[in-house]
Amino acid sequence: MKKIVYLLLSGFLILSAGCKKSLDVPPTNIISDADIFSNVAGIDGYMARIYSQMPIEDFKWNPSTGFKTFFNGSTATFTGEAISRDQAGGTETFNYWSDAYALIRDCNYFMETLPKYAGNFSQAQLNNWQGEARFIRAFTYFALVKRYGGVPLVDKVLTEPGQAINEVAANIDSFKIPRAAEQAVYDFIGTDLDFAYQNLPETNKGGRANRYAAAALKSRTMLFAGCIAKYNTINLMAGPVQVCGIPAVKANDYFKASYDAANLLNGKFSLYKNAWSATDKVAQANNFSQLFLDKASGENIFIRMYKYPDAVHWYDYNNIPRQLWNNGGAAQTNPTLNFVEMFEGLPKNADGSFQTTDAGGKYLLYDNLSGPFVNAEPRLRGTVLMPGDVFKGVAIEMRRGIYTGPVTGGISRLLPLGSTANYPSTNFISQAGPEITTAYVTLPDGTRMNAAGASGFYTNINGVASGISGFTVKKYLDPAKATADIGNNRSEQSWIEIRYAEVLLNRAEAAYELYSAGQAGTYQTQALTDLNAIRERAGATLATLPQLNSVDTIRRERRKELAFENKTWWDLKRWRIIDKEQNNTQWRILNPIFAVNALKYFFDDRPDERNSRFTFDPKYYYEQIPVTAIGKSPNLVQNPGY
Amino acid sequence: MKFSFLSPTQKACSPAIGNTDRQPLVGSEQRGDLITVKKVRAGQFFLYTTLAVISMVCCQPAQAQKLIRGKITNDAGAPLAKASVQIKETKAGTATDDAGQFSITANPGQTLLISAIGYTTQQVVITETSNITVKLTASNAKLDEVVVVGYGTQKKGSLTSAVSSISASEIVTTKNENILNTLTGKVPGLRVVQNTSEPGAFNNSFDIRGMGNPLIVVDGIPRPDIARIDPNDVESLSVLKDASAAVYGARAANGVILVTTKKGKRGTLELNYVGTYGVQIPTGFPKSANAVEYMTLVNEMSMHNPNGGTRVYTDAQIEEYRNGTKKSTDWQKATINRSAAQTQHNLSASGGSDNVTYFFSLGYTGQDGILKSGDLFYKKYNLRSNVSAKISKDLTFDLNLTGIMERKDQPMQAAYWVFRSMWYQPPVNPVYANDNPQYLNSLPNPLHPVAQSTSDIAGNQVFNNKWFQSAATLNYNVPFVRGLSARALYSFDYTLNNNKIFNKAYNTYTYNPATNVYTVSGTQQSPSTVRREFYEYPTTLGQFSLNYSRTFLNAHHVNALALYEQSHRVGDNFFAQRELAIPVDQLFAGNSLNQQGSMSSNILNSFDYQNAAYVGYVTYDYKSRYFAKFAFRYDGSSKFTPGKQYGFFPDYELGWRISEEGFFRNATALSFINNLKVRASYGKTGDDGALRYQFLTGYTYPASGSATGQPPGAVFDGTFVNAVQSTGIANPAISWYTAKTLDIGIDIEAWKGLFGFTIDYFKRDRTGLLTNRVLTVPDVVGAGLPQENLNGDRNEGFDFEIRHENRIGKVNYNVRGTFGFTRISNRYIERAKSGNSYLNWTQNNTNRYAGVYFGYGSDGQFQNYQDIEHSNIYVSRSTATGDYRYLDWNGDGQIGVDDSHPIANTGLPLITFGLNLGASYKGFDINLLFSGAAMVNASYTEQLGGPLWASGNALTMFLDRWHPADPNADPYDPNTKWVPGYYSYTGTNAYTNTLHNLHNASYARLKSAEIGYSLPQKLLTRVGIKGLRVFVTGYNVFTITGLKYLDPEHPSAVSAVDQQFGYAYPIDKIFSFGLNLKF
Repeated sequence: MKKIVYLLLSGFLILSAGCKKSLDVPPTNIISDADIFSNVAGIDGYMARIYSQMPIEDFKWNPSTGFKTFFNGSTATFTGEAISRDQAGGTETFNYWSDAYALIRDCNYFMETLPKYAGNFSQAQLNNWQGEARFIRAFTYFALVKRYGGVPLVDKVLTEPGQAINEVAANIDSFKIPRAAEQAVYDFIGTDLDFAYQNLPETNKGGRANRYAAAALKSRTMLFAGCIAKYNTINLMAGPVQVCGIPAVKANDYFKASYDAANLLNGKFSLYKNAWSATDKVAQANNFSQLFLDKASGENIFIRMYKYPDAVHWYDYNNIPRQLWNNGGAAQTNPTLNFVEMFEGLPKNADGSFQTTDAGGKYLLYDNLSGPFVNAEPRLRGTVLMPGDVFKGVAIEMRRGIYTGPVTGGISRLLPLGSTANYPSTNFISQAGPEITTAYVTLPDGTRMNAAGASGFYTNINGVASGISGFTVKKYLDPAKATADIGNNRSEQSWIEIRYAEVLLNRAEAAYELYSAGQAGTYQTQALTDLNAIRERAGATLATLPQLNSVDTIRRERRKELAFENKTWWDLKRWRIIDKEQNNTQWRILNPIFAVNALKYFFDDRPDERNSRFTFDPKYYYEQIPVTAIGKSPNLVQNPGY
Repeated sequence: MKFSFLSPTQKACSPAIGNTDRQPLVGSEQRGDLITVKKVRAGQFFLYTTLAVISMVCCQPAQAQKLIRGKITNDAGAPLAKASVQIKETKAGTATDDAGQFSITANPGQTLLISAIGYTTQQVVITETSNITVKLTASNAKLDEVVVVGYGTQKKGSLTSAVSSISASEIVTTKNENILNTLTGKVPGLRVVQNTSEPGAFNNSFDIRGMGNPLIVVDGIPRPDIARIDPNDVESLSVLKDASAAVYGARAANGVILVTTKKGKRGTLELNYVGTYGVQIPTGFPKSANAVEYMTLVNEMSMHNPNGGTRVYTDAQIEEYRNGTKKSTDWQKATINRSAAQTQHNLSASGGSDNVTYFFSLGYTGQDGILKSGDLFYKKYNLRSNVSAKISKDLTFDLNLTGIMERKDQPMQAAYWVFRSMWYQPPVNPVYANDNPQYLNSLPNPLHPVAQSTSDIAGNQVFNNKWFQSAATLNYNVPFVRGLSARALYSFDYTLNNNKIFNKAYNTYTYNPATNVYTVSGTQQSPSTVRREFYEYPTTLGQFSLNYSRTFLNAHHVNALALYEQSHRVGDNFFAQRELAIPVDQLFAGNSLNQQGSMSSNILNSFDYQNAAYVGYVTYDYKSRYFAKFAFRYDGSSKFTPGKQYGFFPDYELGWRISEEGFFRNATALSFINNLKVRASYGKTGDDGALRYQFLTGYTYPASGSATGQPPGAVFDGTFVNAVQSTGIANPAISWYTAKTLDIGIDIEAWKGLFGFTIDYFKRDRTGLLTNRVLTVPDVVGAGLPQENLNGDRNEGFDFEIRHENRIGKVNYNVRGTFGFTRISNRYIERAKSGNSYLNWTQNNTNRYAGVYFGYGSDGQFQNYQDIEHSNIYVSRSTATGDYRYLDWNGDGQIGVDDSHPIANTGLPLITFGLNLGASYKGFDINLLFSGAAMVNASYTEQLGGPLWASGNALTMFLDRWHPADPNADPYDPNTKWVPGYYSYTGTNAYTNTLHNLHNASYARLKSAEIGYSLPQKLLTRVGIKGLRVFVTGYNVFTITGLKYLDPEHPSAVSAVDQQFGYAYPIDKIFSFGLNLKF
C-alpha cells in the first residue's frame, strides 16, 4: 500500500513540477505589423482606418457633437442658411484635438513603417501610399489650424516601437510640444500637399485621393491662409511665435499659392453638365441637383463614399419633407428667406429683399403655392424645395395657415413688418400638429383643407417635425430612395468633399484678391471667367467685368454655389464677417397663407417664429484649446477670450 | 489511476466511527475526518479508537442477533435519562432509564444512533462487546455546523475567517425565479439589488461588501452563472468575504460565493416535489397621462414663456376628449397587462445504499411578461444528477452532472424600449388608423409600442441557452497512513448560446375618411432581416490534491491540503445575417445581397485562456482554543506576458476561542456565554477580470466602429473595406489588481442558542487598478497609452448578524438580523494636474469617497411671485412660481457651476440590512423577510425626469405640479393664483445634477412572506405520503420608502446599471400558492 502512496505523491510532484505550465497562449484577435504591411489588403485595411478618421465635415459632422455621432438638426443653422427645429447656432462645442493627433500618429507611423516592408511592393505603390498618408496628414492639420490657429507640429511618431511604458512616461516632458506659428502650420500643410501632388497617381479608387485632390486641397488651404493674413485681427504671441494670426505681408504669397494650385487642375476636371441644356431652365435645375447624386460626375475631385449596410448616414431621414417622411425624422434643414433671396428670379423689393406686398401695402395674391417661384434661378430650384415644388412626384405642400378674413380691397399685413408677435387669432386658423385636424375650412368644391399643409407648418413646433421656414433643403436629397428606406441608417450618397466648382471659386477669389492688391497679371479676367463658368451652369445671369467690382460678388456666388455643403461656415469665418452677420440676428422666413375668401395664396415674410436669435462672438474665430489638453501640456497657450 | 488492488471484500466495510452523514460537498470527504476529530473530547478518544478497532474486526460476514446493554452519560459522567437509542438500519429503538441504562437487541455491524436533547448525536457500531458506555457531549449546534470554505470545509466553531453561510432551508423561504433574489437581506455584507423582473433577464447587481463582481464557484469549480441555479438544488451557500478567498488567487479579490448542491443520503428513496403558481404585478410602474391631462400640460408648457405664452389646444379641443366625443388613447392598456403568471416546479429524488447514493432533480420555471402581445416569456429546465459510489473500502467515485436549458422569447425591440415608446406616445394619437386593428396608425414619432411589442408585426428575438456542467471525482483514503487522502477531479462544462433575431419590416397607415382608403405612410425596420448568432464556451478543469488531517497528542489538530489545478477556457462565436425575400424567420429565406457573416472579436466572446495553480493550506487548532490557518495559491494565467504569468496569494488567519480558556469557564458571571471567539485574517488576492492583452502591440481587425457613427472601415470604389485598428502602445508589465484584505471578527453564542452575534470589521486595499495614463500624456503623442496598474482604492466597513432562536410553549421561532455597511474610497487616481486649487477640489478624487455626486443643493421651491421678486439670488426672468430654488452654496448671489458641491453618493446602497422572522406552531409555519437599503440615491432622465420629454406624453406623477388655478392665467402675472404641487410648473425640469432631481431611495420592504401548513402525518401515512405542506407566499409584498412614485430598487440614472435609461422592465410583486409533497 505504501507503494500506492508514493505513487500518488510522486504523481502529484511530477504533475506539479512538470506542469509549471506554459501559459503562452496568443489572443484570438490581435494581429501584427507584418500581417498588415506585407500585402495590399493589409495596406488597404490601414488606409481604410485613416480615411475613415479624416475630419471631413460631411453628413455626419455637427458643430455640437463632432464628426461621427447621430444628430437631429442641421449644420446650416450655424451659417444663417437655414433654421432647424432641433438646433440653434453658436460655434463648435466639441473638441477636435486628441482625435486629430491620433490620426496624425497613424499617418506618421505609416510613413515610417512602410519603408521597412518596401520589398513587397512596387515603387509606384509605395509613392501612392506615401502620398495618401501625406494628404491625410495635411487635411488633418488644416482641420486643426482653421479651428485653433497654430498648433503643435508633429511630423514623426513620438514614441519608439517597443518602448517600455516607463520610458514613455519618463519622456513626458519632451512631448509637451508648444504651439507652432499659425503660418508655420499652413506652410507645413503646403509642403505635405506638394509632396502628395508629386507622388499620388492621376487617378485613384473612388473615395481615395489622387494628385488633383492634393492640388485642390492646397488651393483651399492657401486661400484660407491668405484670408487670415488679410482679414484676421486677433493676434496672439507665444513668446516670439505668432500662434494666432499671420503677418499681413504674407497674404499675397498665400493667394498666389492658392491660385497656382488651382491652375494645376486645368483641363483635368470640368463642371458637371450631363443633364444640362443652355436653353432649358428645368434641365439646368435638374442638372444641378443631379450633380450631387451622380457617381459618374466628372466634377468630383475627392469624395467620401458610403455603402449600406456598413457605412451609412441619415441625410434623407433628417431632411425629407414632412409629407414624404417615413415616420421618423423630417424637414430639419429649413432654408431662411435671407438665404433664398440671394438668388435671382424672385419677386424683389428695391433693396433686394423678397417682395410680398404691393405698393399699397397689400399682399400680392397668387393662384397657387408656386406663384412667386416660377422664375426662380435654376440653381435655387436645385438647392431648395420651395412651396409647391414637386419632389418624388409629389407637390410639397407648405402652408402656415388659413386666413378667413375679408379680402375685398386687398389684405393688409397680418402683423407689421418685422414684428415678432404671434399671428392674431381672429380670422386666422393654424394647426398644432398633424393629430389635431379640427382646424380646417371647407372649400367651395366641398373638399376639406387643413389649416397646415402636409409638410407643415405645425404650431407645436417642438413637438412635430415640419417645415418651419416655408422651405426645405433639396441638395443631396435622393429622389430615388424608397420611403421604406428612409431611416436613420439607410442613406448612402457619397459626400463630395472637393468638387471642381470650388476650385474655380477658389481661383476666382484668390485672383480677385491678387488683383485688388495691385498684383500684375490677368487676375481680374481670370476671376470673371471662373465666376461666369459657375453662373452659366447655374442658369444665372453672366457678369461683366465692370460688374465684378468687389470681392463680395465672388463671395456671394460661392455662398450660393456651395450652400449646404458645410463650406460656408468656414468661409464666413475666414472672411471674418460672421460676427457682423450674426449679432443678435433673427433670420427671416416666408409663410404661405391661404386666403379662403379669395381662394388665393399670399406670402408673409416675418422673423423666425421661434424668436431664436443668433450671435457669433468674435472670440470664436479661434476656438478654445481643450482645457484637458492644456492640463496635460501646460505650455500650450490658450486662445484669447477663453 | 489504478485501483484494482482493492479486494472486493473490503468494499462492504462501514466507517468505523464518526459522522457518517456524508457532507454533500466537493472536498468534504477529507473534511469528514476532521469533523470526527473535532468532535472528540477528552476521554472519548480511547473509546473511539477502541470502537474503530472493533469495527475493523467486525467487517466480517453478518452475525447473529444479540442483546446489547449500555449506559449513556454526559461529559461529566452523570447518567442521562430519556436519551434515545435507535438502531439505524431497522429504526427499532428504546430510551434510557433514570440511571441512563438501556438494552436493545441488534446485530453486530449495525449502528446505534444515540441522541438526547442538548447533546450531539453519536453513532456507535455494535461489535462483539455486549456492554457499552457512551458519553454524549453537550451540543452547540451552531458551532458544529459544517461550513464550506475554499477547497474544503470547516466547522463553524473553528472558523478563523469571515465566511457567511446559509443553508437550503434558509434559501427557499423566499420564492423567486432567480436564486440571487432569494438571498437578499440574508447574508450580512452581500448586497443584492434586483434591477428588473424581466423574464429571462436575470439582471441583478450584487457584490460582497461593495467589492465588485465576486467569483462564483459551484461544487468546487468556477462557474460564472449563479442566477439560473435552481434554489431547490442548493444544499448550502457560503460567502467568502475576506482573505480566505486567497485560495482562488487572481480571481478572488472581490470575494467568492461557494454554492454546494445537494447530494444523496443513505436511505430509502425520497421523492420531493415543490411547486408554486403565482402572479407577478409590477411595482412602482408609472402611468401615462390621458388626453385631457396631456393637453393641459402641453398648454401649460406653451404658456410658460416669459415673452408671452399661448395655448396650443383650445378649451373646445380639450372638451372633446373630456365629454367623450373623442377618445383618449390608453397606450398602456393597448400594450401591457397589469399582471403576468409565473410558475416553478421541482421534483427531486434522493436516497442510496451503503455504497451508492444519489440525488436527482428536475426543475421547471415558466415566466410570462406583462406585454399584452404575450411575446415576452421565458422557460427554463434544470436537470441535476449527483451520484456517489463507493467503489471499494477507500475509494469513492462521484459524478455530478447538470443541464440547464432555457429559452427567452421577446419581441424584436427589448421590453425597455417598448415601455419607452408606450410612455412616449401622446394619448391624442390613436393606436390604429380609423381604429381598425388591421392598420397600425402612422405616428408622428415612429415609436409604436403595439407594433414593437408584437412579434407577428415587428419580429422577435429568441435566446436559446444551454449549460452542461459535469465533474467526476475520485477520492482515495490512503490506508495505513491515517488522515491522508488523495483526490482527482476532472470537469468539463459547455455553454451554448444560440440566438435568432428576426427583424420584420412593417407598415403604418393613414386613413382618409373622405375616400375611405388606408394608405401606407410609413415603413419601419426595413428591410426585414434574420440573424443567427452562435456562441460557445467550453471549459475544462482538472484538479489533483492530497489532504492530510490528523490529531496529535489529543490536542493538536492539523489539516493540510496540497492541490494542483489547471483549466482551459475558450470562447468562440459567429453569426450570419441575411435580408429576407419573404418575411419568414429562417436564414434560408434570405437574399444573398447584403448578407453578412462574421464574428464578434470582443474579448468577452472570443478568447482562449489557460490557467494553472498550486493551492495549499494548513490549519492548526490547539484544543479548539487557539486556531491558525495559512493558505496560499500560486496562480498562473495566460492573460499575461511571459514571465509575469504567475503570482503568489497568501492568506493568514488566527483565532482565539476565549470561552474555552480556564479563567473564562470558571467565571460564573460569564457562564451564559457558550462561545466567544475573536479572529482575524489578512491576505492577498488578485483580480484579472479587466485585462485585455495590453502587453501586445498590434492591430485589432476588423476595427471597432458603427455604420452610423465612425464606420469600422471605409468605402473605396463602392466596396466596404474593413480597417485595422492599432492597439497603441503596449505595456508588457501589466498585471492583475492586487487586493490586501484585513478582517477582524467576533463570534458570540450565548444562552444556549437564544442569542448569537457575529460582527466583522473589514478593510480591503486595492492597488494596481488599471487606468490609462492618457490623462497625463500630452495629446500630441497621438496614441492612447495602454492601461497600467496605477490606481488604488479602499473598501472599509463592517457587517454583523444577530440570531435568536427559542421555543415558547409549542411555538418555535427564530429571528435573524443582518446588517452591512461599506464605503469605498479612492486611494490614488492617476490624473493630470488641475489648473488651480478649485479645479483640484472638484476633479481630484484621490483620497475621496468613490461615487461622490457633485451638484446643486436644494433650497425648496418658489412658493409665490413675491418669493421670486425678493429672491436674494439672481433668477432669470423666465422663473415661475413653483420653480426649483437651488442652494447658493458659495453665497455669491447667483447659481453657477461653482455652487456645485458633493450632494450625495451614487451606486449601490452603502447600507443593506435584513430581518428574517420564522415561527412554527403545530402544523403551521410562517416566515417573514424584511430587507432594505440606505444611503442610496436615485435620479431620473428622459421621461422619468420631466413631463412631455422630447414632445412626448407625460407620466401621471407629473400632474402633481405647481400650476395656475386658471389655465388661461399668465403665469408671470403677480396676481395669478397657484395650485402647489410636488414638481415645478410644466416646462421647468430640475437640473440633472441637483438635489431636486436626486432623491433618497432608501427603503425597507417586506421582501418575502410565506405562510405554510403541513398536514398531520397520521393522515398522510394512510395514503402513502410522507409529508404535505401547502403554502402561500408573497415577494416584495410592501415597501416603505421616501421615494415618491417609483420603485426604489429600480435602476435610475445614478445607479450602477442604467443601460436602459431607467426604463428597464419593472420589478414585480409576486403572490403565489405552493405545494410541497414528500413521498
